[in-house]
Amino acid sequence: MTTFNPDEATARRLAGLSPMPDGPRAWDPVTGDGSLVEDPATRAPLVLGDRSFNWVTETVCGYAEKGPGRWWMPTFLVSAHVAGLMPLMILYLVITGVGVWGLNNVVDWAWDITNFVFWIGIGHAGTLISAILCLFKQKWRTSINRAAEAMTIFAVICAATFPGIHVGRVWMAWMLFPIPNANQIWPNFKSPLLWDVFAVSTYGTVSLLFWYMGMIPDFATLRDRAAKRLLRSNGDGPRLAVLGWNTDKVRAYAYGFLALGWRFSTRHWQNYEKAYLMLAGVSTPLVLSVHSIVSFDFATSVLPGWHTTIFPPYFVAGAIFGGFAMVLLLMIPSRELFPGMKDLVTMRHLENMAKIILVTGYMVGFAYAMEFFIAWYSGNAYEADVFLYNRVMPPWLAGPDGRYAPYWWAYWAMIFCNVVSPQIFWIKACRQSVKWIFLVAFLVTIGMWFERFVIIVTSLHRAFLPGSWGMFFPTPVDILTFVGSCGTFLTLYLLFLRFLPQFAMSEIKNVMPQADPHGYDVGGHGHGHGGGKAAGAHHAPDAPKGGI
Amino acid sequence: MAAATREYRTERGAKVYGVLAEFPNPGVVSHAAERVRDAGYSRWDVYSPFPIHGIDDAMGLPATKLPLVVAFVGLTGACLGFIFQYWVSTEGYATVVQGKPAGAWQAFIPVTFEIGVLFTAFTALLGMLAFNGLPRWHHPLMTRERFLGVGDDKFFIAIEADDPRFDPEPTRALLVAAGATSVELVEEELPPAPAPAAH
Amino acid sequence: MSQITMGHGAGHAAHGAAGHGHGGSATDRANVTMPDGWGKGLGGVLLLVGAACLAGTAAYPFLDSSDYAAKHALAAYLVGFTVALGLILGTLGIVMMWHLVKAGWSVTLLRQAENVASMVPLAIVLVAPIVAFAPKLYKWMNPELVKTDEVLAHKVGYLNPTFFYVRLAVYFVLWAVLSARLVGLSRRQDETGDKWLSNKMSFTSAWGILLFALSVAFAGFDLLMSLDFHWFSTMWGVYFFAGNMISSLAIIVLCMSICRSAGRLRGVVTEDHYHDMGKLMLGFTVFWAYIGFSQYFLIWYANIPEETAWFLVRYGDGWKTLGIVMMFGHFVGPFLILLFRKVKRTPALLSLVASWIILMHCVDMFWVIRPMADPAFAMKLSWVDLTGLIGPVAVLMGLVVLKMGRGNLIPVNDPRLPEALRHRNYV
Repeated sequence: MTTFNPDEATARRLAGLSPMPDGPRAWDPVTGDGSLVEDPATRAPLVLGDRSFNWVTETVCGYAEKGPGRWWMPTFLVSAHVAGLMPLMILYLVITGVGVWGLNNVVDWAWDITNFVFWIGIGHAGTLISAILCLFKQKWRTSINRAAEAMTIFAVICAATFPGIHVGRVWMAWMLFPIPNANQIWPNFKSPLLWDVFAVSTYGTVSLLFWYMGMIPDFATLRDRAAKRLLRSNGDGPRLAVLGWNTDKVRAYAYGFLALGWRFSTRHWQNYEKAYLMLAGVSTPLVLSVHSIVSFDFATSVLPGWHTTIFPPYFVAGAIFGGFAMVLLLMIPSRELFPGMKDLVTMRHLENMAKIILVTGYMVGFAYAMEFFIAWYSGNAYEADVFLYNRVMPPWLAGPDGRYAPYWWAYWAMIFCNVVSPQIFWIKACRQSVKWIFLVAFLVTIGMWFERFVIIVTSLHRAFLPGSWGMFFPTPVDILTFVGSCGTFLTLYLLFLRFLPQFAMSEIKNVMPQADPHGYDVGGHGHGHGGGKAAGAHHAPDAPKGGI
Repeated sequence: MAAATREYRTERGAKVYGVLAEFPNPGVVSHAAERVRDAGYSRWDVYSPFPIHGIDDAMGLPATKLPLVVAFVGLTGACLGFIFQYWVSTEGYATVVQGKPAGAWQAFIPVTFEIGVLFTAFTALLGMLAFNGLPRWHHPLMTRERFLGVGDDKFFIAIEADDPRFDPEPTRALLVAAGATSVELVEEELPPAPAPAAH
Repeated sequence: MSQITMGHGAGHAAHGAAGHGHGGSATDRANVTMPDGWGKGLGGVLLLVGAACLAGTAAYPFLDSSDYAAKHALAAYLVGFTVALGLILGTLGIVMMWHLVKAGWSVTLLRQAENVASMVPLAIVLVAPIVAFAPKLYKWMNPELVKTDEVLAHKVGYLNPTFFYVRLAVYFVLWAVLSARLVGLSRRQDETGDKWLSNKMSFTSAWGILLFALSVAFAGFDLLMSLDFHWFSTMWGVYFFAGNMISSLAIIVLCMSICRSAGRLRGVVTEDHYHDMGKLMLGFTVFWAYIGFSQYFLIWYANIPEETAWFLVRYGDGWKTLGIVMMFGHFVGPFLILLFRKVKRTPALLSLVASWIILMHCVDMFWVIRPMADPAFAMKLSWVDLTGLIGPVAVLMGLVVLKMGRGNLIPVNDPRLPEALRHRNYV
């Protein structure tokens, strides 16, 4: 009964090799980093480099324990200062009044709601990756779901701020909630704006639960590691610079508290997996419903450009589209900055996300096209007018009456970023190149902001009566509030990178080849699973296992 | 059944929680779980860094009832949400808005759905914890240094002393035969240290 | 990259096992093909029933004295045709999606989906009566009306007979090409065992699904939405697609069950595959309800007369009852039942649910099409509604059953077959 590397399968495969170095490996010249396998009979490995379970633990816990590196503190300080703009601007807004924003009687929803929809859209990718990909058994989700879920929470925080402050008298915002009050006034449940309150707060809460639940086992791992070091160092470990407490003790208590006493029991795992699946099951329609309800804010009106039945799925597709772009924007730099992360987030992961961007980009494009077609097909003069003279027509194509769309540049920026730019992903070299993916993700993020701007501002700035036509121009307060929300988002994300498990360790381990108990040669012949179902392939020792 | 009332204590006088056996990999631990199951133990568990595929069958665990609870609470929540909105809109503060009838059911669907989801999600998480007896921040197993590797890459089976079939030596022998790389006894908390004798 | 070499090995192992039929394997020839002569009876009966119903539908205008008999018969036939077309298109879409995401678990179901999807030529035959008698069915084809109806005059550039026929031709040619190519490649893989054909199928699906999405949406506009040429909804294409998807998932489940009832696909299509098909059916039940409700809801809420007209018609006579039947029968019922793991994992139960879902899809199409056939939007049921529905669907199923009897029941040389054979749901 010898003690050896528990990952017997890996260990056996590695026999003859020196211990796997943490540094650069020999790359397979044919398949890039080893994940871009073209062979349809092969699933690309989800974790590169024949890593062991222990490597996953060391690497992922290492990010939270050792810290991300020198770049972190300066970045954090800068982004925290930018984030500070947001409360400042909000304070200024509250003590002065909404007049400090550029909106007016014609365009009475402008940057605030644009930013709200933009952020809530970004917040959808996290739950999408976690929930929908979980239901579809897309195992590659395990490498990106944690970061994406974190992003969701932070984006929802940014999003929820905007409608909160745009109500004007923010001290009355509590009346959004159905709380009994002295005036016997209840909210209007027939108003889309109230549905929004429920949708966004439910979404934020459920995303938080989902995120937290996924982290419970990983918190337990971090706790056990700290406890182990404490035992071994006998209390002599490194100490916090500020309070002088033993760092591992702080970790053991903090992570231990959050882990709720998780001890990796199979009886617990059984309930846990069921609960996780059910959460994924309700989160999927939740994602759809939340952005659909956001779209109802617009589509239940009678305003041309807002009222169209395709809005719900169109908004959802757009949210997924923009959300994946943001995931890529965050993960690509992380991948460069954290040691070993390229083995967890492989090129195949990036390529898959690029493909999702291409597909959802088409969905969005489909919706743009449908809106156009139906605007003409309906025979409704106002609809047609909105699309031609609010959105599309540039000045140099203005008709004899000199009419053109003042916001044509916003519309065409949206089309270029959302419909045209993802087309480069048809080229394999582009969707397998980190630089191109990053560029497109960046453009898509901008394009999705413009999409919301186009929907909200351009639909409003031309009312039914030409007498009440107007324009919207953002004020510095508008702009700085948005910049501040970007800072808030980044700051929270940096804190996440520093202190929390960035990857779902237990889930990654579960999709590694050596996690399959059937892959081990135990006691001669199989041990009773599956009752001979699908015999032949069942115990094939060399069958491809867990992969993308 | 007499065995169930037996109580084991270590030489130090601490009550025995059970035996903890370490296994080298998921394959061996699954196989060992089948042997423990077949030996008729009931108070025991497999501990692994991730849920091993097919381990529920290997352990002979019945399906969890959690989904029933969650579905029931979720649907109840949705119904309550609908009734509440209907009451608010027709009785609590009936106003004619958007030219719709006071109790227009269509308008209540979005919030009904959201409340249903909210109830479902909370029940799923809290129900999971309740079914698992969590939070419980201390456990005899956590006192074993070896066990602290379970979140990393170690696989264990623990058989509790409360199990009617538990008997230190045969139980240990079973685990060793099933491929355990180490077997150790786990104590519950030590009784308080005896007060120093007064002289 | 040891995993990659491992993969190669598995691929060859699968070819060996499947192609040459080593004894005892789940992919033995005897397990993946129907017995000789199987299906002639069932398929023949279905074809006979279908032919009889088609004949009855065609005879209806001569047997019924009402002024609108011909229109009733055509509308009833359109219901059946749309259901049949939806099954073909939905399975084609599912095949493309599976190729696109390189799905592994579903490989053992692929051939059943392909069998239905390969029936595009049948759809071309079945659309002939619609094309031939379109002016009776589609009011906007009346040249007199164009002169008096301002809205129609506006959209005559799109809604004119010539363009309508051209569009239909384009859709059907596109679908025929896609289905022939995908089904053909898959069969070629059966024969040659060339695993790289899988990549070709993936690529075909990538561009195919784009054109497919557009063509299905516009086919929905042309065949269904234009029945009420004043009405419009940007969501309509998605609604049509959602209904097709859910009914097609159901038909794949039924095909699986037919194979199993003949004692085939033991250990190849397992309860785990049923489980996942059940989950997909649950998902698309919700999706259909989501799309259907959103469309209705936005129109109900905004309350603009030109849009509500369509729903007002369906608020009247018996149509409202049908709407409520769908709300519960097409959504609430299947949703609640499919929540149960036991139902999804029991082939007989899931097949029952699948049949129910197809029935509800028929009700849906009936509810969409049939009110337009009566000048007063009245619900005057007659036997032609039954024959019109059964005719095209029975012919389709008859041919699918005959097709099942010939050739393999699974793509025996698909490189991802081992994955599908190993597929299990652990949670």
